[in-house]
Amino acid sequence: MATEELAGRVAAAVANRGLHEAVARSVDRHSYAAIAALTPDVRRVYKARARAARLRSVRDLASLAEQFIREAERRRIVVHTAADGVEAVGIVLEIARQHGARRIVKSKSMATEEVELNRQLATAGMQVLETDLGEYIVQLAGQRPSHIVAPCLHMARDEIAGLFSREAGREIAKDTPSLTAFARERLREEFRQADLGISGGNFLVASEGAVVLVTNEGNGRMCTTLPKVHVALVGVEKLVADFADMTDALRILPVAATGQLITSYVSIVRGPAGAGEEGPQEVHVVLMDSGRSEILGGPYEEVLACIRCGACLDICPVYRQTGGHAYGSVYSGPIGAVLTPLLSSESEAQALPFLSSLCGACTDVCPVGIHLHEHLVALRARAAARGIAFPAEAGAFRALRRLWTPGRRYRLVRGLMRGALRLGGGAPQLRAWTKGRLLPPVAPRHVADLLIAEGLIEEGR
Amino acid sequence: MRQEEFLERLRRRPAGRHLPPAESAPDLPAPPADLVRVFAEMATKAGCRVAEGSFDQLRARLKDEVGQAPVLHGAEEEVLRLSEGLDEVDVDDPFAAEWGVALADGGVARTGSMCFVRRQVSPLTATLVPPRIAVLVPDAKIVWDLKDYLASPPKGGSLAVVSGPSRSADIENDLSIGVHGPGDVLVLLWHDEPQQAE
Repeated sequence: MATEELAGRVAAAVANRGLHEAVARSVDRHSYAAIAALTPDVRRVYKARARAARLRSVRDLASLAEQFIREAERRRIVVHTAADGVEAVGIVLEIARQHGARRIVKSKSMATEEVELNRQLATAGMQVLETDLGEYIVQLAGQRPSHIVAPCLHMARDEIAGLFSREAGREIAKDTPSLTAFARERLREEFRQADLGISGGNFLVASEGAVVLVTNEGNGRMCTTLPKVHVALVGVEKLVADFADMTDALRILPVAATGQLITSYVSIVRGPAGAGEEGPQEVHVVLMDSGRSEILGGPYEEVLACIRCGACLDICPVYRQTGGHAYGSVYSGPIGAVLTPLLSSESEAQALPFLSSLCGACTDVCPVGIHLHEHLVALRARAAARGIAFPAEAGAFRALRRLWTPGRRYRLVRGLMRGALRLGGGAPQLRAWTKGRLLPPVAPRHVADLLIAEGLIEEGR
Repeated sequence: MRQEEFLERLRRRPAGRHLPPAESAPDLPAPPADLVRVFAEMATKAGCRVAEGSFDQLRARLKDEVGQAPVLHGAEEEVLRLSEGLDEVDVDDPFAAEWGVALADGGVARTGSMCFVRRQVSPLTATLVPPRIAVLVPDAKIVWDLKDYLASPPKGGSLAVVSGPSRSADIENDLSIGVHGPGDVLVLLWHDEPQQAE
C-alpha cells in the first residue's frame, strides 16, 4: 500500500541522525535570519501588503492571464499555454528541436521539477545542465531537490566533493571555495556554449508582460541573457497585476526564504533583444495550468497565493526530522503536504497531510498568511473520507471514538486509565515515552463525577 | 491547449469564493530623509565596496582599481568618460573581461540595489559576466524602494536589479561569494557637483 511506503521512508529518515543535523544546520539559519531581518511592526506591514497582492492575483487570475498574454506578445514574447505537464514538456521539446538545441542550461524552477522536464529532454537526446549550485549538485547525485530554496541542504560536503571529483576526473578539495570554483569553471563553459536557456519564474507581471526571476548566484541572469533562446516555464498562479503588486510580494519573499532584504539579483525579462542589443533573440513563456485551475474557486484556493519561499519547511518540526525526500513529492514540508494532494490524485499524495504535527507554526511564519494547518486538517478529513489513511491510525481513532463516547464503556475505560496513572507507567509499550516524564497526580474523584453529583451535567448512558 | 481554451478554464472557476473580502493594505513605513546615506550603508551591508566623490575622483579610483585589466563597458556618455584609458574588450566577448563598468539607471536605498535596463548602449552582460564590476550611481537616481523605481516603468528591454556580489550557501550553508556572477562589486557613488555660476 502506498501509505506504507511513505511510512517506511519517514521511518528511515527519522532514524538518520546525520540527516537531522544537516537539515537543522540550514533551516535554523534561515529561520533565525528571517526573524532578525525586520522589526515586528515592519514585518506586519510587509506581510499584509504581500498577502493583499497575492490574494488579488488569485481573485483576478483569468483576467490577469489574458492581460499577460496580450502585453507579453506586444513585447514579442511568444506565449504558449499548457493544460498539463505533458503539454508543457511537449512545447519545450518542440522549441528545442526547432532550434536544433543540443546543450541546454537551466536555472532552478519547481515547475520544471513538477513536470520532470530534465528527464524528458535527456530522453530526447539533449544535454540539460542545472546551473544553480545546489541543483547542479543534486543533478549529479541523481536526486531531487529536498528543499524549495536550498536543494541540497541534506548533503554533507564530503558527498559533494565526491560527486565533483567524479565529474572532474580528479580530486576536488572539500573546502567551500574549491568546490564552488570547480562548479563556476564547469558551468561558465556551458553558459558560453548553450543553445537554449530554461528558467521558471517567481512572478509574471500582467501589466508588463514580464517574467521576474529572483536568484542569488547569477545563474538565472546567465540563462536568460546569454543563450540565443530563452524559455520560461511558469505556473499560471505566479501572475501578479503590476509592478506595485510584484514589489509588495518581492519585499517579503527573500526575507522569509533566507533573511535577506533582497536577493543579489532580480531579473525582469521583458522580451527578446532589440536591434543591436545583446540578449536572446527569442523569448518563450509557457503558461502552465496542470491542476491550478481546479484549485481556483475551491476551498483550498488560498494556497495559490504561495510564493515558494520555503519558510514553512524551515519551521516545520516534521520536516526537520524527515528532510524533503521522505515526502516522495516535488514539494515537501507543509506547503508540499497541502499542494501535492491538490495537484496529484495518487493515494500516497493524499496521505501527505498526515505528515504534520498541526502545531500551526507554518501558518504563523507564512509571509502571505496562508492558513496551512487548517488546510492540512481539511485535507486529512478528505483523505479519510476517501479511505486513505494509515491503517493503524484509522483503527486507533475508530476505537477511541467508541471508548470515549459517554456511557458505561467510557466509565469503565476512565476507571482503568485512572488505575494505570496511579501505577505510574501505563502500558509497557509506552514506558519509553513515560519514563522521562512526570505523570499528573490522580484526583480522588473524577471531575465528571463531581459535576454529576452537583447536578451540573447528566450522566451518559 | 489554445490560449482561448486555457483562459476559458480559468474564467469558468468562481475565483475568490473561498477568500476573505479584499482589504486595503497598510501603508509602507515612511522613507528616511537621507536616501544617499542609506543607499551607501545598505550597499555596504549587501557586500559591495562603496567609493564616493566627484566624477573625477571616481574616475581616478577606477583607474587605480582596474589597472591594465581588460574591461567590458557600455556606451553611455558617462561610462565612456569614466572608462577612458582603460583596456576595453569587445562587447561580443564578455568572458574575456576581468572588469565590467556600468551606469546604474537607478539606485534603491532600502536594499542598496542598482537597477539596469538593457538598451543598445547598455549591455546587461557588463554587470554579469566579469568577475569584478564597478557601477556608477548618480545621487539623483536614488529612490527609496524598488516600487518607486518601477512606478514609471523604464523604457528599454529587460531589467536587472543587482544587490551585492553573487552568493550561494548551498554547500552546508557556508557562504560563498562569486559563484556565477561577479564576486566584487565596487559602487561609485557620484555626488552631484555644484553648478558653476556663469
